[in-house]
Amino acid sequence: MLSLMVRRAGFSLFSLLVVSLILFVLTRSIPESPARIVLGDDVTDAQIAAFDAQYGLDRPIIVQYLAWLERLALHGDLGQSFTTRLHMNVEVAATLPVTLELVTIAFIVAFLVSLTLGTLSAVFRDGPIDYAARLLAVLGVSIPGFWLALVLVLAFAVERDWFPPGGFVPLSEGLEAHLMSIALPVFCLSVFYMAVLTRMTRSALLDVLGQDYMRTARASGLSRLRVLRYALRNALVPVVTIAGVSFGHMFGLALIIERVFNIGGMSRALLTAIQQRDYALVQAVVMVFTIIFVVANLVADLVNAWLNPKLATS
Amino acid sequence: MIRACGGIAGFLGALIILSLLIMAVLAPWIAPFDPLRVSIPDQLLEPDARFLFGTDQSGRDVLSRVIWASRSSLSVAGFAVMIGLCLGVSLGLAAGFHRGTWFEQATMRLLDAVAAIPVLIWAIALVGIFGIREARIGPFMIGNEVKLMLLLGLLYVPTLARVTYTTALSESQANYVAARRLQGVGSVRIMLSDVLPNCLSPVIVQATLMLALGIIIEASVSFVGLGVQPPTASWGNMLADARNFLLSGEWWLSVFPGAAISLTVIGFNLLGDGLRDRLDPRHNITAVTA
Amino acid sequence: MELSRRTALGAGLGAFSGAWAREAGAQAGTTLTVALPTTPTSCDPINPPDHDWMIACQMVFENLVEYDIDGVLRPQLAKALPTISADKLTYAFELREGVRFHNGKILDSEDVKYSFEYMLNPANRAARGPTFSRLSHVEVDSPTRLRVILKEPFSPWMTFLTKFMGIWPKGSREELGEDHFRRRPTGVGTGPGLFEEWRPNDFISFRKNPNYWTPGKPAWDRLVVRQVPEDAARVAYLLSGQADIISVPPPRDFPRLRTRRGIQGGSRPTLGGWSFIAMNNARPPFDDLNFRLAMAHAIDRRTINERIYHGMVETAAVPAPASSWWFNPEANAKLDYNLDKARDYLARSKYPNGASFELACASVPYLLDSRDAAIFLQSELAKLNIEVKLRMAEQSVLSPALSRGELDALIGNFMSPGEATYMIMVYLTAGQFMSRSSNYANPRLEALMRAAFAENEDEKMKPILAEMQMLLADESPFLWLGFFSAANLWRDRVRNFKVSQGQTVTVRDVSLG
Repeated sequence: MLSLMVRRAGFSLFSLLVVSLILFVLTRSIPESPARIVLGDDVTDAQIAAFDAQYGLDRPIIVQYLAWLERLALHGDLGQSFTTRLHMNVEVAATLPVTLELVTIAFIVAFLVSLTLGTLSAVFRDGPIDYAARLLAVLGVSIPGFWLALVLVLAFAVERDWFPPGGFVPLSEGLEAHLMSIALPVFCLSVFYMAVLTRMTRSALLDVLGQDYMRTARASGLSRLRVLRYALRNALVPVVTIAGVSFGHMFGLALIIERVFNIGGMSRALLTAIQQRDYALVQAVVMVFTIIFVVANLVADLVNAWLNPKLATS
Repeated sequence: MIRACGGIAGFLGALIILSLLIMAVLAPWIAPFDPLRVSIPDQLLEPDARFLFGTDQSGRDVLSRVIWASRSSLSVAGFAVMIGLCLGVSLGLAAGFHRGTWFEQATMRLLDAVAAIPVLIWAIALVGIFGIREARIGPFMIGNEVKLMLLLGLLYVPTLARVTYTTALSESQANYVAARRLQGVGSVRIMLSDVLPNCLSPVIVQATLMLALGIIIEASVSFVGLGVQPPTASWGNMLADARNFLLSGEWWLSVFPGAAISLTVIGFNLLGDGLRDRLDPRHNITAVTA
Repeated sequence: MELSRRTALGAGLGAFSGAWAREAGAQAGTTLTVALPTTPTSCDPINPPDHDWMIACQMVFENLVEYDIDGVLRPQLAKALPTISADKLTYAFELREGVRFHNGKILDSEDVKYSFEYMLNPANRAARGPTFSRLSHVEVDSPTRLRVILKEPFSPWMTFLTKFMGIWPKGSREELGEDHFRRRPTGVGTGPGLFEEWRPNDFISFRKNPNYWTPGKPAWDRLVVRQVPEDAARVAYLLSGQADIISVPPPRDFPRLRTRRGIQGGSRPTLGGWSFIAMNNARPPFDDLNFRLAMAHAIDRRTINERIYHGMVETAAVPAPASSWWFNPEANAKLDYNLDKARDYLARSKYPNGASFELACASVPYLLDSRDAAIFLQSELAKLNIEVKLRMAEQSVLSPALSRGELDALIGNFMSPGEATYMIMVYLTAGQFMSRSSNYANPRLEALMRAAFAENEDEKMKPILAEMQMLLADESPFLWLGFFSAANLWRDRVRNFKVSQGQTVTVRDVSLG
């Protein structure tokens, strides 16, 4: 078990190294010089050289990468924005909690609903619940979340004023107002993943229930509920894997949902950075998202090892 | 026919996709108007007999734009998957076939490492970094769609390589491969004519689901203004424009392009599920997310 | 469907719907909230953000004189407008007494001298420093008396102060550093708002300055300026009471929204908001006068302004707003929409069989969305066999490319301080930061410009400006569609609010009912 954890964590680190190198090289390969973007159009070559020297942009790219990596790994330092001169950690600290809250709540909602729905669907296979769940699942993965957001704003915030049409009310301004302001975004964010996980739960559970040992268990007189509990424990493995991946992917959709609902989360920091050609910030945001993605996958693996210790030895 | 698609649902999916493809190919003949035809007197007309889906803020026919937009959406998704297939399948196949070599180890470790990339975030960030302007690569001017296509294709490689690799690994250990070797058939030939066909089923299923994903990603990237650029129509950028008319009640601007995306994605998903039931019943637990 | 019906407050939704509305109104009566579409970049007036976010600079910093919301020069930190010497090189000011900076220090002439010297020093990289390059220095006569000395006559300089300049305490730049002025300008201004907080991608907030030099102002306790990029979201903020004033309302919804119950709206043409097509006269096909004139006659300004910009642009074919005192109707009439004339000029040009050029346009609109206008022009000019290739990109990419002379043409809406010469000087005369956008040079225009700078009275300036417009109509180095309007929507509880000709929302005199 411990060796598995170490091995998995080691691979995640390797993964982050490779990916961060790719990201770093790509963000440095843009045709425009950052000096020109920041200092304006009338800069002289001497000013560009001075700027590059100040930010170490004149060094070989691999040296720049190692320096950046060292700061990130040892000090958790994401670097400094060229355009706003603001420290990226400040920017991320100001915006990440909002996005993280949305995604976490949406994830929990999606996970719980899909577990319930998927189980019901598998237990009552080919019944009305199953058909309804399967239909919803196909629709859920097919309707783009941002379109759903537009339609819901139209229906529930413009035509009726059940929900605010946008904006984020911090928790400090009251729980009810806070929850109302995140209700629609959380829903739009969770639908796709709810659908994916429902399908996953259903097919994994059907798979397990069809196995020989399950039939034996039932035949030997175990109660239906106990059988289901055992089956679920085994069926959860692929579901948890996909859930881990989904959690990381949700930040991508959050990028767009936050835009529709005008929520000042991290995603908007990214889009603003793109508009202002603030590559250092783009790089920082993408790196944070990628770290979250890798960590979520790692956690999923560890949960699986706990659920099914057999995996740990294989 | 229905069986080939894995049941009624799969057949329905195939039918939807086929009609969309025909629509995209025949766009110049089916579309009632030029999708770029600006006509100020016809601004923002509700759907009627002349403009079945209404008109937009420049008086362009929404139906014609939805039809033409299927070209950009389908081609971005289609070519991206093709790029992913070419690279992913060859890498996966080669790695699976050269079992136990440093090549296998290096390729698969690297690909697994790169699989730690959240696709949508990277697609948006990278298109953003490279800018939405046409880029010149050698003698070719490449537009934003092509950029997105290439990027998405590359981001698809790890998943498709992994799927191919897993099957190729077990296939290459099969007895018939050993037999062919004994017959003196060259490795490359065995790989292409024996192992590859047997790997295709799970790959096709995966690719179909990735097409669905590609449609959504293209629409998302265009929706934030980084994908297909106006005046060229794409479902995503039509929805982005439609956002400005949310308050004033021009519902047709957001409903039709959104419905087109959903229909296409439903089509690919139904087809993918059907194909999975038919071709790859063993691996029926897969999911594609972004 | 009617907006009023669709969004009418539903009765009977009761507690459920009331929750967030109550919350939004919790601080009612004390907090004024303004919603703007763009992203602030700085609070420093010498490196100003866009015209919307200049509200942040203008809350904190003030100037000797103010170019006010109606385009009238008024004394601000000075007691009165200056006395100008006969050679028009010396402007003598007398400061108000007892004006305090936010740090408690009393404003005196040394602060003014220090501020101007800091801005004029090229080492400090003031973005609009070159605009003031005709200023020489400041001489201090007493703590309340000072003279601004010019190198050559340059009458419009005082109108540029409100947007591009401010007065801060002597020594503060060295003491606090550049970032302090950019990101958290506490203690360094004299304005009505005390900087409170900047939450990136969300808002900048200010507290009322209790020691403001006009007693009783401001009449609010807190000002929150929010960043709400989506048009629909901004309107929704207004309708739901999460914002009191919004800037840049969606042009098409504006007429309906302003007549809604509980909402008021206003719009007025800006005096310096060019809605135009910049053309690089050094690049074909714009290197040919007849081609430019063909373009000038081929453009249906009225349709663009009424149907595409929804009346948010006041038509003018010359660079002067039709409602300004310097507008020359005779010059304007020369460039009528007339396809026969256009074909005539085209036939006489170097490109009788048509031509092709790239038209750049901002992909993320600021102030007014030009994309639909660009698409309309593309289809209109195709009728004359002129092929327009559209190039969409972010403004932050286009502006530098424009200033470096790398674009064929650009359609856009650019704002200025709102005075007769600024834009013409910056774009169409040599040695300015946008000169290469046009690559246009004309000794006659330069001479007229110098003559205008030497006059301080409207009546004497008017014939010079009229001749300038005539010249620009004959030469058509750029194409003008008109002057765009500043527009705002606000809730009934906002009193004494007036739309500014300078685009920037001005809330110093606003009170909340």
